[in-house]
Amino acid sequence: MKQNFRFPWSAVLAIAVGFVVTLGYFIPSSAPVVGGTLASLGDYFLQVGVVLAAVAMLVGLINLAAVHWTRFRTAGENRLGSGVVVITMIATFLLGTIDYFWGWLEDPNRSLTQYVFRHIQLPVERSLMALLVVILTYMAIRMFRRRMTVYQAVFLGVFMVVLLGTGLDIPYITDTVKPWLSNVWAVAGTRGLLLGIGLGTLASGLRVLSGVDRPYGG
Amino acid sequence: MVDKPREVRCPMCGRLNPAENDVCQYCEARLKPLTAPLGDAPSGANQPDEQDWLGDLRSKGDLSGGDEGEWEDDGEEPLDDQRDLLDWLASIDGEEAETPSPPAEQSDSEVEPAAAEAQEEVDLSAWLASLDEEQTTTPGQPEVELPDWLREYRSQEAAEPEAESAESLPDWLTGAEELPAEEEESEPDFLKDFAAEDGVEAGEVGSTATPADPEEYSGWMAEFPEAKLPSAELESEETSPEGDFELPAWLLDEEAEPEEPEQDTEIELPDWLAEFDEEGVGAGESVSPAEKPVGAEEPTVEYELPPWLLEEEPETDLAAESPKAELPDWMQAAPLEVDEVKGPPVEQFPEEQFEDLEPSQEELLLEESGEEKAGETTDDVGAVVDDEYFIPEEEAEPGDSQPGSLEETELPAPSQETAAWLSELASEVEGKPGESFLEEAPEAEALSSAFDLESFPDEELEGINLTEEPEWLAEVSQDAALQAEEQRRGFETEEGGEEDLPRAELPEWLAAMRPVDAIVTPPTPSRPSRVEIETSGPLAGLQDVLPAESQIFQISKPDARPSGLEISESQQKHIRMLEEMLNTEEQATPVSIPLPLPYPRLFRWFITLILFLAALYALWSGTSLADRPLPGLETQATYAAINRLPSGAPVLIAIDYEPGLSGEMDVIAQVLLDHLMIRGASLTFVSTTPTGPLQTENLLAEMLTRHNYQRAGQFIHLGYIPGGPAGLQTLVSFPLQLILPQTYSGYSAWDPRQTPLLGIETLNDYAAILVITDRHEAARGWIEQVGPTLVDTGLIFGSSAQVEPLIRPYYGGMVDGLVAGQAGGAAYERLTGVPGQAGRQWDVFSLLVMVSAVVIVLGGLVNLVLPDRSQSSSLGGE
Amino acid sequence: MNLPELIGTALGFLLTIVVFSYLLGDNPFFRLAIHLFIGVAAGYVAIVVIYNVLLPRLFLPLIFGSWGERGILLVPLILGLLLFFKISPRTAWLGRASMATLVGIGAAVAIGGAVIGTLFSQMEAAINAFNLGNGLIMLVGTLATLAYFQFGVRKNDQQDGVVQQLSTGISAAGKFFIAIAFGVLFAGVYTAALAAFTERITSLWAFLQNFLPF
Repeated sequence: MKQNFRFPWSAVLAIAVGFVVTLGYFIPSSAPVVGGTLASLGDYFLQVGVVLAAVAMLVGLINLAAVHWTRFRTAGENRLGSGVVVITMIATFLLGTIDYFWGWLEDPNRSLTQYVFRHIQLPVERSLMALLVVILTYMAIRMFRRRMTVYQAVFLGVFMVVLLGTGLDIPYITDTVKPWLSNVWAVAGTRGLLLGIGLGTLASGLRVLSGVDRPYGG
Repeated sequence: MVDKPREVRCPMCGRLNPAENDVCQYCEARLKPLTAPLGDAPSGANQPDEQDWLGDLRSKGDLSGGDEGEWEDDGEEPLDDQRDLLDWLASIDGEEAETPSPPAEQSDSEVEPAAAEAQEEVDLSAWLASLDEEQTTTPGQPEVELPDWLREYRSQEAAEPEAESAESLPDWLTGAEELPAEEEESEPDFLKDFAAEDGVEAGEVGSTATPADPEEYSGWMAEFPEAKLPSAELESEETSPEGDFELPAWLLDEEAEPEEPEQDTEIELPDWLAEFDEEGVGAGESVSPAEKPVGAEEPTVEYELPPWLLEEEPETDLAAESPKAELPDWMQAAPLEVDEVKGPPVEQFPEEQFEDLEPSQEELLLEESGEEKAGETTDDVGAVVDDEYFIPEEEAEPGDSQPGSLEETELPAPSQETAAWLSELASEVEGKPGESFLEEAPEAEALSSAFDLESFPDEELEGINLTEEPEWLAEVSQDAALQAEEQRRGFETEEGGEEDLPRAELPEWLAAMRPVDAIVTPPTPSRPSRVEIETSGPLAGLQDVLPAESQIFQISKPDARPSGLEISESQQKHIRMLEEMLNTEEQATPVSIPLPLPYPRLFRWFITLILFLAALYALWSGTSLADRPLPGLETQATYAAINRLPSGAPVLIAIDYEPGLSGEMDVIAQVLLDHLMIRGASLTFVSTTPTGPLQTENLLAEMLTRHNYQRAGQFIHLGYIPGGPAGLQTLVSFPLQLILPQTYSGYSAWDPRQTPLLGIETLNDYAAILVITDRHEAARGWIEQVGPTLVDTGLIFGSSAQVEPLIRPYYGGMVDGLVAGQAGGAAYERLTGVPGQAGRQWDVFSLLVMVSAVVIVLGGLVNLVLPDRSQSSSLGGE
Repeated sequence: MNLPELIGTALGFLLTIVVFSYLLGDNPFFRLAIHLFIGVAAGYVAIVVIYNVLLPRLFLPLIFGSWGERGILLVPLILGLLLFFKISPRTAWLGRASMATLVGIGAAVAIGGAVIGTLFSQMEAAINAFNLGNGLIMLVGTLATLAYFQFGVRKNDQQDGVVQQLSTGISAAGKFFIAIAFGVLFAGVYTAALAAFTERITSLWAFLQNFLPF
């Protein structure tokens, strides 16, 4: 059966670029023959990647605007919200453009973007974070159950000890137990987690560099 | 259930399969029968079943080139020359079709299957052609071995031009009238061959010799549930059918009750041939074989039948129940009128073709060449196969598929030519050409020339019980019809799965032959047009060899494991384990989900109210519940690291936190910046988050109110570094001037007048790097990308409390200092002694901590007191 | 406080109340505030990306830079333009090369950082911190957590007695240390939220103090 074989250009590109950059980590620039070339080539690819990352962010913003614009034009439930998103996005961009060309970006008294940020973005985001304490409190209450396992009890106990030891000055808790828990036991656990994360990252990166995973669609 | 035209129903399991499939995808049963069922579209596959019995009559050793005919179950297909032989059969009907009679009107819509019928005509002719040993009278006839009595019929037919069409009648039909008397003494070759093969002596008619090998039976006889066929008929690689077969009674001699002898005619027909005549074929010239016992007054020709032909057929006595036993039941059709037959279009068979035929014969011809009658033919397999061939005329109901009717079998549909030759033969015998046998009872004379026993040599007739009704003929009855109908219903019910009718226990071979009512009749002959020649095996060189599998020899569903496989205990253990794993994979793990507290919204409002009141109280009263916490080791290290900085030391500050946690992070950032500014460090601000520059400017706006720091003199803001870890790696790899050429506001950052960047080329030129972040990814990025490259530059972190446990493992290695959370900021303020926001908020914070802890504990106790209302549910089940 | 600041502060106060109204239930005002925040944040990101990154690093050197600089920037320019085709599904295939480059670079950076920055440093730290006291606890906890969390060491009925006991012990120890680590993490998240709540209440109180006698 004849198969239509397409050369995986994208995969070749990703593997080649990734390979060069990876080697740049482990082969010093002072290494003979290839050290300098690899370092230069890897650095160049890093620069390209930085620019592409910025472009990718811009593409994401354009897509966000397009999606909300489409929602705004079509009748829907969140039509007004999408319209607000598009309008405020354009307005903020215009304000920033004004700030940039007028040199007001670094002037806190004149910067329009600073004004918008300080009085709209900051209050909303901080308030959203403040809401979290109520939800977390409710979650902590629900953790108390009759049929609680040992590990759930340990979790709750450590949580209470660290919370109280952080905010209050409780003898022996604040100066002994809480530091011991945080600096020894918790570090042991988080170190194991970090090692696992590192191994997982390594495996994922190798899968990409070997062409097994192709998230770019190649 | 409506059958979709694009799907066919498996006769075995009843499941729907795509129409293009040849084999059921579930049970591997053959969907498209190799032999065409009665009433189905004419197909070559049907014909082999019909022609098998004749093919078996041929000499086993005289097979030549696959000239058994397509109807042979051994998979052989007739040679092309055989088709020529039978063309005359087809041409007879074809000529007659031009002048349709009222009862045989043919609608235009029914002309279409003519092409398919033509193919079947050839196939049907093959069995007749195969009997022709000598192509003497009919040109183009294949060289097949025919018994003498058949040969003479053929010659007689050749002498009758009007009786011939493009294809010629077989000799035994054409030369029926001229069958010499002396031939009655000679054993038909087909019988001789059988005798020679099976070692049955001539004259052992009626013996109940056990067939050599029941599994070797093949051909049409295999369709009879109680027929036992001779061996060695199967020449293909097909497996022999399971179960034993018993010969129909008419092939037996002794046990069959002699019928009332009819008037002798010149030609004495064997029983099975005499039954063609409803009232006695060739009444004047032939004797109904059912009525004329072998060995009766008239000299009969005895044929040396093989044992398989001699076995009794005790269960069925179709002949006895047949009111008109002259014709064999398999030739009798249920409806007397042609137009009542649901088989082929009646118009294809003009009346003249049937004038000498028994209704059953006519039905055979009609049904075998007609279109498929869905739902009528396939479900009567359970009926006694004998019944399918021999049905009393009165049992036939118009429009119904009678059990045991020809349309329910898989006999090849007779072609028009076939019907024509029979009618012609009948007319020759009777001398009543042009008369429809429907209008007048076809007399035995019509076929007397063919079935005149006197014309048969004794040797040929030996062993054939021509005097008595075969049992299996006699037993055709309404009960059999009902039984078949019930079984058909049962078959359908089994498909629907709702009734409790017991399913008939069919032998496997018989069940495999069950006509499929859901098979869509292809408009074109199912027989492939091109001839395929077998290239390997014992059948090499033969044309149109049937494939290994056959509808008759149904391949059962294979076992789960090969019988010869040895499995050890440990392997079985592993198998069980794997099965359990696979079974548990489908089972959702029940998850115990605690039900929410009663009135959750009210509960949240209560929590919010409590916290609000506590905070307001703390703000209003200024109550201090706890002093500022003591700094930890990491906080002290940070303080010490900054304290060691000389005045004007360049410090890179990364503001990498989001506006959401700026309430906490601003506290930490301010205390650290306060300390740095107090130390007079030259600050460079960067950010790896898009909102970082805004955060930096907001922070600077606050700091500049307390410290007299000048932009571009003591601090500089270089803006955003995209790319995350990759961007940080560029900071390490490239000179900063290349990476950060401009300030946040767009001015050139590397102006010599920009003192904060004097002498700065790489990151290692900085005295310290302070990263203030609330995200673990940003912290890890700085640690992993920048940390290993730093030599003498300290890496200090100001982090949120939520990130501190994940940064702490790096402390002591690449992280030189850590100030975490509200408490860390307050503790650092305690170290610096500079009052700041951390101290102002600490009282509120500490009170809120205490209140929160109390609320959590009290609420938890209430939850403990309440009954356990958790519920188990499977993931994704709801 | 001047008028713009007053208006701005009032707007912030109002938005804070609107967001807190979510505790009463989802309402249109809350959704409006969220959409407002999203639009502002997206607009500002566009400003930073264009004026702080692309303009100084790509467009200006292409226009005013030397031919060498232009040649070097040709590749990111082409790849960046191809990336814009990702917006439309029909032309998304054109941006595959750009995405492949990004993914390759990202994977390489992640590998290098994980190996050098985390694996080596953490193993070294775990070794250096070993002592018969807390170091032993840290070492055992690190290994048990790694075995349970990363390598999935569990009790298995198919294992032999000694191995099964060892697996049971390791998994129990791993779960224990993970429970402690998560407890500390949860406490950190809670205190961070509490700090944000504190800041909000403080700012509200500060605003109200401008209008209230106390």
